[in-house]
Amino acid sequence: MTALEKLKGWLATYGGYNILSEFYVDYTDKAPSNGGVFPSGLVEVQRSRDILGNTTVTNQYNFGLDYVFEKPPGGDTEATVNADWVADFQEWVQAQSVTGKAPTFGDEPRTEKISAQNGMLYEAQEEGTAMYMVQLSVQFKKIFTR
Amino acid sequence: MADLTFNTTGGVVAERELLIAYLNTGTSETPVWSPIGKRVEDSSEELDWGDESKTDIFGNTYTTMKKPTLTQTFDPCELDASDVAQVKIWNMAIRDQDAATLSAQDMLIVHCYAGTATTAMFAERYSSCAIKPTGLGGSSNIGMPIDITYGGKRTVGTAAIAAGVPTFTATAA
Repeated sequence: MTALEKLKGWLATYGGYNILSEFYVDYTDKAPSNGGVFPSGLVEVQRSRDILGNTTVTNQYNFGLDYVFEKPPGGDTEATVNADWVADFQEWVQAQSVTGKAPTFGDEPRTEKISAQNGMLYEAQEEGTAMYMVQLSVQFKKIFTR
Repeated sequence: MADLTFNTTGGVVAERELLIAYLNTGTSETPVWSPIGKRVEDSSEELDWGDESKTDIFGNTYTTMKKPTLTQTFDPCELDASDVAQVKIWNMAIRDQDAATLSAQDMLIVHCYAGTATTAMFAERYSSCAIKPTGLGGSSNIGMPIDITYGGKRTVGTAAIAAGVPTFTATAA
């Protein structure tokens, strides 16, 4: 299973996921109640080598999560519901990561960290929808033994 | 005796992994050499020559030196079940608090950069080393820093390493 498949499968276990009719990769529909994951690759954060020649690499996957919800212009009630959903989702990610329920991607599961940050309204349309964006990062270690 | 040569490429510095300290986790007759230093990124042998200098009444300075005492610190040495040497040290130090055994450990230092690469690298075996864990704990991981004083009978020879396993052969006297 690829990292993206693993991530998508895990995101689908979020309790609020069922309000989404579709969840795409690199795409979101203009219709309300759908989302998409936008992978932005792997970043090598740190590389260290011990005196025996074993190398530990700290990597980070970055993903953008976009969600399209209903939000009529000036619709304060809908905006509040959407903002609460995004905040709750971020807290769910944090809890999953802290309690070790999130999927793992590297060789030291206990040290892995997934965080969902900066959830915010990205764009509102006159047609009555709005896109919210969350930045998701997955930090994990890979160990290359000599 | 002719000088040994380094087997590394000229103009290129020798990598740290070419100097490895092993603890005998087997027996004296059938040693099993287990490396020390997994996850340790910086550790050096310290050589104390016991040097003393004096200046005579003519202003000339003379220095005397003794054979060196070698010490080495491995820090933080985070506990790892796959680290055979560390598990042995933990049992002697933390479980048994067996100071006598800890101070009589058989160790081997292999200088992989000197001599014939892989098959006959310079090595020195110390029959009675003092291994002293100086702590146990840490913040997120359990570390067990270790101080070692190499001692006892020093036997020099060569080591061959195959599949990560060294075999020591003493030089004939």
